[in-house]
Amino acid sequence: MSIVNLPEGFEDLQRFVGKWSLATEQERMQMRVHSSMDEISEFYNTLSPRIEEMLAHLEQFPAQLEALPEADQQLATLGLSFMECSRIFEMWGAQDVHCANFPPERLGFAPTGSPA
Amino acid sequence: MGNVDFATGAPLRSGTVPVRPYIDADYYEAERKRVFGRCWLNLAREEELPAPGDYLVKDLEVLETQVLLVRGDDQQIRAFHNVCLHRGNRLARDRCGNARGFMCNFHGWVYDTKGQLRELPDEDQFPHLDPEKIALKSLACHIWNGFVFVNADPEPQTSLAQFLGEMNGAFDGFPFADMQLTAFYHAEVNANWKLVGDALQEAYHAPILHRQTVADAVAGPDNPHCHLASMRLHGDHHGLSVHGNLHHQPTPIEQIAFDYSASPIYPAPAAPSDSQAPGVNPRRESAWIFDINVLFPNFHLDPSGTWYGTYHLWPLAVDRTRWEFRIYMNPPKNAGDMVAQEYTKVFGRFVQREDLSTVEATHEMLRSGALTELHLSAQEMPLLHSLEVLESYMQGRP
Ligand code: FES
Ligand SMILES: [Fe+2]
Repeated sequence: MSIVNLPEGFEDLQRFVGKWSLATEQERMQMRVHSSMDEISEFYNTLSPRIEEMLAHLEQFPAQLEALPEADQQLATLGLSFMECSRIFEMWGAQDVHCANFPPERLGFAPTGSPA
Repeated sequence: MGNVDFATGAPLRSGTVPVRPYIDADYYEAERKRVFGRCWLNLAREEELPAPGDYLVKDLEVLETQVLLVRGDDQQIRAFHNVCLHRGNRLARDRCGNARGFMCNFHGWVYDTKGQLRELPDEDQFPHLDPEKIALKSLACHIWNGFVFVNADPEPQTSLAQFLGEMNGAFDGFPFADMQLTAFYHAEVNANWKLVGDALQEAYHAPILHRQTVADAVAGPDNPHCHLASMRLHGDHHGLSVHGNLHHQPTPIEQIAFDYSASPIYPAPAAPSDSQAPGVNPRRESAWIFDINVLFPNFHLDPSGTWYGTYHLWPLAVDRTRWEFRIYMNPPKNAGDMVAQEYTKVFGRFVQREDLSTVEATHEMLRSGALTELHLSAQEMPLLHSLEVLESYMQGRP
């Protein structure tokens, strides 16, 4: 998808869209593990005070990325990338769990969604 | 807490188990036939096949076959070996789809969704055959709580209901069908299937192996070694309830993500209601996070209050396993909820990788032969029970 402007009120997050608005979970995971700690901490620090506003804004849309207007879809994928990065960063200031014996690339991702 | 078998009131047992079942190739060969060839195995959820003609092809490497699951016009789901009766070609070639029937691409024999032969090209040249009597080789197939089980034994020793025994009604009322598949991860792991399963049926490891992730949510000052909230043996199967730390302090985003999600991983609903399935957290402990139910031999069904997870441990060889993990949650109410749920998926992936991070090294070291036995604490009794059940099948119990 081409880059469009984020919805009104989220202009300050626009600079993250090119890197972090990624459509699939696997792409977002790859981006996390291949980003520098500086990139992740800037992303986390900027979005963490805004994430509640983002979630509240997204509550007006159905839970299907494809159903969202492009701008809101980009905001949603930005939020998904934020969730991808935040857990391990906020607990350990890290980018990944220390788990050298089972690197993230070894997990296969299969399609999900309704129905089971 | 958790020091008796809740089902019988008997004290939990600790003990020693042999290493051989985990590493021995002959043992594995026998296991394939005596265990996997005889037990009921879960292959799917019925929602994966909603309409007549919907089908799925499932690899069953442990039995060196492929299973074709298909819903017939009569709504019944049936299971067949995915093999054409003419000269043995693979029948369905796609992994899933919807079909009115299946045509073999070698000589064009056609079967309907009930497995009956419908077209036999150049029929006159098969005077010895009565096409009406030709049907695909079936496997017994039954559904329990929406889970599709098959049994490869041509004459199953038990019905699915008998096999499940006391597990049968344990989940009555659990809203399996209302939840949706939120995440599905899989991996090929270089370890015996039981080593993988063992790592997923005790909580003793949580404070150490999961110190980066879930340790604080399951083990706190009240329960530093993460003793189980309760445990129960049910015939070949067992259930355990994992303690939850009521004093767990969520991090800021953890709090937000769980507040916005219809299916937070925790805390589980504080006071489980009477309408909750009787076998889920049966002691109605408030300090509870989720249950682990091991349905022998290789299916784990792990319900919490608003989600459930499943594991399938599919043996590929004595030292190789296909691990499959699925999370089912309440369908997100909106796009905000969907983004919040992502937190759980990411968290889950970390925990899974930690769980898988020891089993390959364990298998390698066991293979060295340096050890002949392993020591299990009373909290690890589920492993002991699984091995005892396994051994009873290996001894050919009727
Ligand atoms: S092998 Fe299937 S039609 Fe000949
Ligand atoms: Fe674990």
